[in-house]
Amino acid sequence: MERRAYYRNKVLPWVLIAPQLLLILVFFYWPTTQALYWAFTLEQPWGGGNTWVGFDNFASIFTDTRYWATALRSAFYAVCATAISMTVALTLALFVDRALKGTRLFQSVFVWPYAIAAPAAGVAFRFMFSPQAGFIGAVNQVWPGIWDPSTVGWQALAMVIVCHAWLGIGYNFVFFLAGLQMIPRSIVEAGAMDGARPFRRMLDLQLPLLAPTTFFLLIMNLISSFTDSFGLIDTLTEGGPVGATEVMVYKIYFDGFKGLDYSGAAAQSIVLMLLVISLTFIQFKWVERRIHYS
Amino acid sequence: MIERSPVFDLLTYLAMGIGLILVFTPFWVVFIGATLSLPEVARVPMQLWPSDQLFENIATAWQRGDLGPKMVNSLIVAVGVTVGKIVIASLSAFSIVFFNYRARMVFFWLIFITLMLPLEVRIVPTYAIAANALSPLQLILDVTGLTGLVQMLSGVEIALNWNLLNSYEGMILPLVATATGTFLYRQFFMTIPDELVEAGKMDGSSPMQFFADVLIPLSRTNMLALATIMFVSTWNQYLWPLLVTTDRANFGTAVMQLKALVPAQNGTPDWNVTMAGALIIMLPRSSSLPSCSAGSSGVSSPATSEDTPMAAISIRGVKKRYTPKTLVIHGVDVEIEAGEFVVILGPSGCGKSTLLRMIAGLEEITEGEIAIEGRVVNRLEPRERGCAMVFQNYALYPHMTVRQNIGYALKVAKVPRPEREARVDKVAQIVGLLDYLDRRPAELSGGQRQRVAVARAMVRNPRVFLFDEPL
Repeated sequence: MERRAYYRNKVLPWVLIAPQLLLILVFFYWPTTQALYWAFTLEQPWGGGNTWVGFDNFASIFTDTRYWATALRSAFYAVCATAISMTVALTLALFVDRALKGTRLFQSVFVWPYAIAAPAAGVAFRFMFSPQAGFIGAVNQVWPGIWDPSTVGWQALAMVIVCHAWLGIGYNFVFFLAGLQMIPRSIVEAGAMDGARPFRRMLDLQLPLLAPTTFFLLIMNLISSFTDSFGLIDTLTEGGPVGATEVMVYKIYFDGFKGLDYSGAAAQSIVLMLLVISLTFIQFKWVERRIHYS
Repeated sequence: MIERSPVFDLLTYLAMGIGLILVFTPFWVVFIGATLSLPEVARVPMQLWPSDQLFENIATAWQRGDLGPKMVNSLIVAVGVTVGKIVIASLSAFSIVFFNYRARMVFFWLIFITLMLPLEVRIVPTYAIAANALSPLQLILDVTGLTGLVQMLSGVEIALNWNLLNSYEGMILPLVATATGTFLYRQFFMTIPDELVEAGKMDGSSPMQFFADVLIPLSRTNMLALATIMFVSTWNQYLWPLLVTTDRANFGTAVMQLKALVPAQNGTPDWNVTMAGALIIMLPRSSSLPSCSAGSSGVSSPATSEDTPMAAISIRGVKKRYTPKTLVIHGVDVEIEAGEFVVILGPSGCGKSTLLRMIAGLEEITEGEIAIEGRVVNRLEPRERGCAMVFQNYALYPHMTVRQNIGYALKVAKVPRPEREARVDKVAQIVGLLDYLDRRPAELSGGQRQRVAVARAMVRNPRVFLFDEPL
């Protein structure tokens, strides 16, 4: 951010930035510090403040098999939803980038899911995948009882993952298409002069040159699968059946606000924060270094 | 590219067609579902063409979900967050990008770090602060002993409490407290060329005038994009409103109501009403992004300098370093007589521009002094020196017409409108721009832009003209 032309003023810049600083101090830094405090203390059962318990809260979540199951499920969810969503979006972007006649129509529809609220998509998918209604339920007429996400865990999880992947298509598509259109036309034309056909050029030129976009999206998708999954799961399955679709944010919400275990929820929040921070950090450090071709 | 590959073209359409079905189906299902009657919606598999119950279902969903007041709530929160974010983000980005003060980088990082942790991962502690937003202040008072002191002196115990639960502030403020907007504004402000800031300084505008007259109009496109994104994402918020509103009847938002519309496990499977509700809630967000084009420049007419005599400049032992080790100008001594025309020649990078900019007041003078008409100007602001400058790349304000560009300095100086018009017309005539006064810079040729830049310098009747290779 090196500029040459600055204004000089002793008071004005502080006044201008004050509202933002005040807001983030009160609603970001203070609560985050509070989370640390709770994570290392335990509330007394009959009031009387918190006592320092060191890493006990962390020890108890890490020895809890249910927590590990949730963590593994979240990881599985993140990887599957990200992989499906990015693959579909990339494929669509590669074909749209060919700019054949009528492509604009397709292009505008592919962006739509981006604007949809996760709970609205959740409700729509719940209907589509309902065993007694919609149209996936039709398989039950051929093989009775084969599809029921309200009792079969893996089916519920699959349904949630598919819905999350669908929601992400619009966002991923926009970035992939923008990335493709940033590739200088001359490079693709040079490929054509070298005798590469369209499909070859996709594989040999466009995909490798798209690496920075891909990496950026990979991290954004992983983070969003941790953070944006709540509205979806709450309207689709409410974490059920028997916790089969419970991911980390949902468990924090449940332990903290339904179970009123602030210390446990705070410790889980800290773990999740570290996870998200490290993903962001990887993105900054790694992506800048390795994947630019300049 | 001329390249025929019918097979591959076919494959392309096929893939896009499949994609269309994948993406479009859920929308179609929602729409169709919302048009069916109860017996029709219970049929498996569902029919794929619309029926005639759309308005009945929408009416039922509207009433059952209490969607009227809930949409108003959603609207209040979404507009509140959008406006709040834009105002706060533009001000703080302005502070970070255009002012040079020590705490700048610290503030930048403080704000930037908030991007890393979305609200969802810190709901538990944020909820606690919403229950009493003044608790940090209370802690400060407690720790510093002020609470005890006041209690001792007056017998009153200070117990600050500002509960944000079940309030619009509680839904809005924590959502405003993130850095996305600040970051976008910063990225945009960074692209504003230095010359534009300097041109503003030469025209005598204060920081806030520059912010209002140049930055805000130029960032209009960005502001609209940001507003759209903010509005949609706030409208779609689910977890946070769910937490801070226990009083759903009065403060619930539309998206929260969706869950209430899902048929109960053993209740009537009236999915048609649910789909109608989903349809209503999807609508406001699908409104299109307004597009707007920014960027045009104006030609202004210069005023003649016949009545203002030129000033003498003396430059004595002037040196310039950017860092302690890089001496750019090694001591210049020049006396320029009033009315003299001086050309400075030299290879690129030798400091010609730097010298001009030091005269103009855009660059600090490291050593030595510069005097205009016998008065040492080292400490004076650009607008106080009576110089006009034509920049290498002209630095025309892209969003103003030629007339506005030329007249801007006069406007800042609060010259009354009739006089302003007259002076602008006069200079425009001299440089031959009378026919182009209502165009914007983008609609001018290179030579015309150059004349606008010259006219802008002439209109102020300056006593010193500085031309930084504008030809």
